[in-house]
Parts: sequence; C-alpha cells; structure tokens
Amino acid sequence: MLALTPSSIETLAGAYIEAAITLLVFGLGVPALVSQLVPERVRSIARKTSAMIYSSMIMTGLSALGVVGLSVLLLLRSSDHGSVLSTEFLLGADHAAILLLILSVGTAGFNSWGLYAGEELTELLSERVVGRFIQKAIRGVEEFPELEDLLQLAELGRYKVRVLDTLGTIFDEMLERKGPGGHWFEKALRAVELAVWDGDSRNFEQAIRMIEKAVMTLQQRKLEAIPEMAMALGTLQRVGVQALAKDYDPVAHSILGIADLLAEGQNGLSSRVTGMVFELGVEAVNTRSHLFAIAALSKLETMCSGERRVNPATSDYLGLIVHFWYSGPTARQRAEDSLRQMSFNPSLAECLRTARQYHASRARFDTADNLEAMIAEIETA
Amino acid sequence: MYLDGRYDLVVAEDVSRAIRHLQRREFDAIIVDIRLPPGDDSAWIQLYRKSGADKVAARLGLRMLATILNSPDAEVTRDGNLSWITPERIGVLTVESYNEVKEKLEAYGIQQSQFRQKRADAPETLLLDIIESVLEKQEMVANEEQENDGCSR
Repeated sequence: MLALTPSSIETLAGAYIEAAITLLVFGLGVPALVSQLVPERVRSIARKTSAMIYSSMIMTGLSALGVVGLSVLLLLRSSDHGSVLSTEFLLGADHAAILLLILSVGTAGFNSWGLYAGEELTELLSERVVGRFIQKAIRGVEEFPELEDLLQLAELGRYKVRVLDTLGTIFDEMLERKGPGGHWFEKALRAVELAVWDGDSRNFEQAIRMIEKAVMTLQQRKLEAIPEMAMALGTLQRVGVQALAKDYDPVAHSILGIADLLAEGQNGLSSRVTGMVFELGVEAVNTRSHLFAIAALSKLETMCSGERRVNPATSDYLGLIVHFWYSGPTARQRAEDSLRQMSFNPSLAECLRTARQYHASRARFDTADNLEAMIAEIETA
Repeated sequence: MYLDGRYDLVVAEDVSRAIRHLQRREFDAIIVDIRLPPGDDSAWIQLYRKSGADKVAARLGLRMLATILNSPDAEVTRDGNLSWITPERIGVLTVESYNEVKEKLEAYGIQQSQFRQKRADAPETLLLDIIESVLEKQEMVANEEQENDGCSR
C-alpha cells in the first residue's frame, strides 16, 4: 500500500485543484463555445426567449461535465493502485496526453452539438411563434413581431424549410379556427412572400401550396370578393414572378393550375385571375421562358373564349399577345396563330383599342404602347 | 402540347388536385399517370399511407380511376358531379407496362389504344399522341351510338 507523505498529499491536492479548474473552464467555457457555434441570427432571436438559450446552455454544460467526469474516471482506472493516484502519474506526460485527447474529442462533440442546438432552437422558436401568433390573431391583435423573428431565420437558407413549415402551420390552424379574414391573413401572406425570397424550388412549392389552400378556402366560402382574395392572388403572382426569375418553371406552372381552378369562380374573380396570368406571361416573355409564356397564352385563350368570355379577359389576352408580337418573328408567328383561332366582337382592331385603354388605366404603359403600335400596323396592313 | 396550340392543358400534380379540377369543369380527355401522389385530401392521404406511403406500390392513379368512373372497387367515394366522365375520355400514360395494369384497365372499360407507356426513347409528342387516340376513341363510340340509335328506330 502506498503511504501518503505530506509532500505527496500536497501534490495530490494540487492535482485536484487543477482538475477543479479544468471543470470550471469546461462548465463556463463550453456553453459560451457552443453559443458561438450557433449562427448569430439564431442567437439574437433566441436571446429574446432566454429560457431556451439557458436550457440549451445548461444541457451543454452538463454534457461537458459528463465528459470531464469520464476522463477523471479513466485516469483513476488507469492508475496502478486503483484508489489512490501516484504523484508521478499525475505529473507525468501521460496525463497531459490524455487530457489533450479528451479536449479534442470533446471539441468535435461540441461542434456537432452546436449544429444540433441550432436546429433545436429553431424548432422551439417555431413552436413558440405558432402559439403566440394564434393567440394574438384570435384576439384580433394587428401586429405580429414574432413573424419578424421567423423572417430573420428565413434569411439563413438552411432554416427556410422550417420557417415555411411554421407559416404553413399558422395558415392551417388559422383557416380552420378563424377563417381567412383579418389582419393575420395579410401579415402571414406577406411573411410567406418574404420567407420564400431567394429560396430553392422546394421553398417555392411550399409557399404556393400554402397560398393555394388559402385561396381555395376563400373560394369555397364564397369570399372571392373580399380584399383578402386580391391580396392572396397578388402574393401568388409575385411568388410566381420570383419563381420564373429563378427558372423554376414547373413551380410557376402550378400557379396556372390554380388559376384554372379559380377562373370558374364568380364575383369578378375571373378578371383578377386573368390579370395574374397576364402578368406571369409577360414576365415569362421578358425572361425568355418561352414555354411558360406559351402556357400562359394558352390559358388566356381558354379563359376568354366560349361562355366564360369577359372583356378584361380579352384585354389581358391581347395584352399578352402584343408582347409575343414584338418578341421576334417566331413569337409573332405564335401570336398570329393564336389570333386566327379566336373570334373578336365587333372586330380585332376594336378589341385592341379597348385593351389599350384597359392596360393604360392600370399603368401598364409598355403594354398599352405596344398595343397602340400593333393597332397602327394592322390598320396600315 | 403547348406549341401545338390546339388544346388547353391543365396539369394536376396529385390526386386531390386532379379531382378538384374534374369537379369544376368537363374535360375532353383525362390523361392519368399511375404513380400519383395523394395531395392534401385526407381520404387519399390515408389510402397512400395504408399502401406504405410509396407511389409505386400505392398506384393511386388506378385507384383514382376507380373513383372517378364510380367502379364497385372504388375505395374513395365519388363526390361532386363527375357523371360526365366515361371510360372513353380516359387515357393512361405511365411507366408501368400494359400487362401490369391490363386487368384493372379492362375492368374499367379502358382499352389498349388508350394506353401509352413512358419510356426514355418516347417521342416528345407522346402526350399529344395519346390525347388524339382518346379523342378518336370518343368519336368512334359516338358514331357507334348513332348507328345503334338509327337501327333501333
């Protein structure tokens, strides 16, 4: 058995103090380190909900203590005498080597934990936002600062899907509980439009699905005439324009499917829908997304022919036709083919003049000017 | 399809959307893929999950045909006014071979001329081609009905 002399006790005490200091450094330093590993924007949002960040830090600290505890145990077990540490061992090079090993393993673990903590924080934040938003919206509150936090997160690409999922939950819950009217609807729509900004095609699909559900709910409840429908269609149009600018044509095509479903509606909805298809078609012509432009033209041909013919629809159709007309010989050929299939009452020239006024009154000056030029061309010919 | 300019193409990406479109307006031809996702309708989601949440195994396209044609084996009840849908308005365009789906299609009254298999070497006009076959089939059925009417008179 090893006899403990005063000098060996002193050395042993020194070793314990050293271990305690190490523990303290880990206990305080690791949470700070983990906090640094979480993206700054997540941290700034998380600070507002301090319980979240503290619980995360406590958990991190505890796991760090666990790692240190295990390492101390390892040192004890590797000692020749099991229960008492020899001074030589404590001061030996092995000690430093094992501590270094623990530190490096620990750092790698904390890195992973840092990433995990980021995800955890966003999940907790999302749940909290949904809860608070719904409470306020049901009470009729007009401001929703929680959405700002979500939008800050959305600016970090990797959290976009979660942010849009959260907005999807808000839409589902609110459409179910309160219906589409009210301040919440406008704010949530705006949040969807901002959240999807610069996103990938999956984000755009998520956003479009959300808006589709909202407009379908409005239509099912015969609420086509309320301003919320115009808001929703406006958002859908702007999201579609963004999708076209990013070459996500299949995503933009799904908007044409929604337009089809809505075009059957009443209460002036048809003109809003044809207006949206017109805007998307023009964007497609301008961004040289020819296939989508043709799809939009084809949709307008159907919408302004037969029983569903209404004047704004014809004006939107002719508005898109004129953009084809001045986009090169092949596009003009497509426009001519389309015009030949349609019938105009009283005449094409008269419908073009009506369309010119219609677009001028909506500040679509390029379209109005092109229509003016087309009228002159047709009359000269 | 778009460049041809003769038809107004409406694309439904899932069964729920497809049925929504069919409930709102009549179409001259309905082209169905067998491997369709369920969309947001709970009845179709449930059916999809029961089949292991796998598009290939679930074959929701076939199940949708059963529903819209009001077949006795339909697992989801037909809602809305879909009585305008007849087998001759339907075409099937899918990765599966005809033999794999033959039994079901025949039971629903859909013939081989209304079927096309998607292949890597398929022409770009395949969709147009199947639509034309479906429209020809309708014309044929209409002529036969006229002849039968003439005979009975």
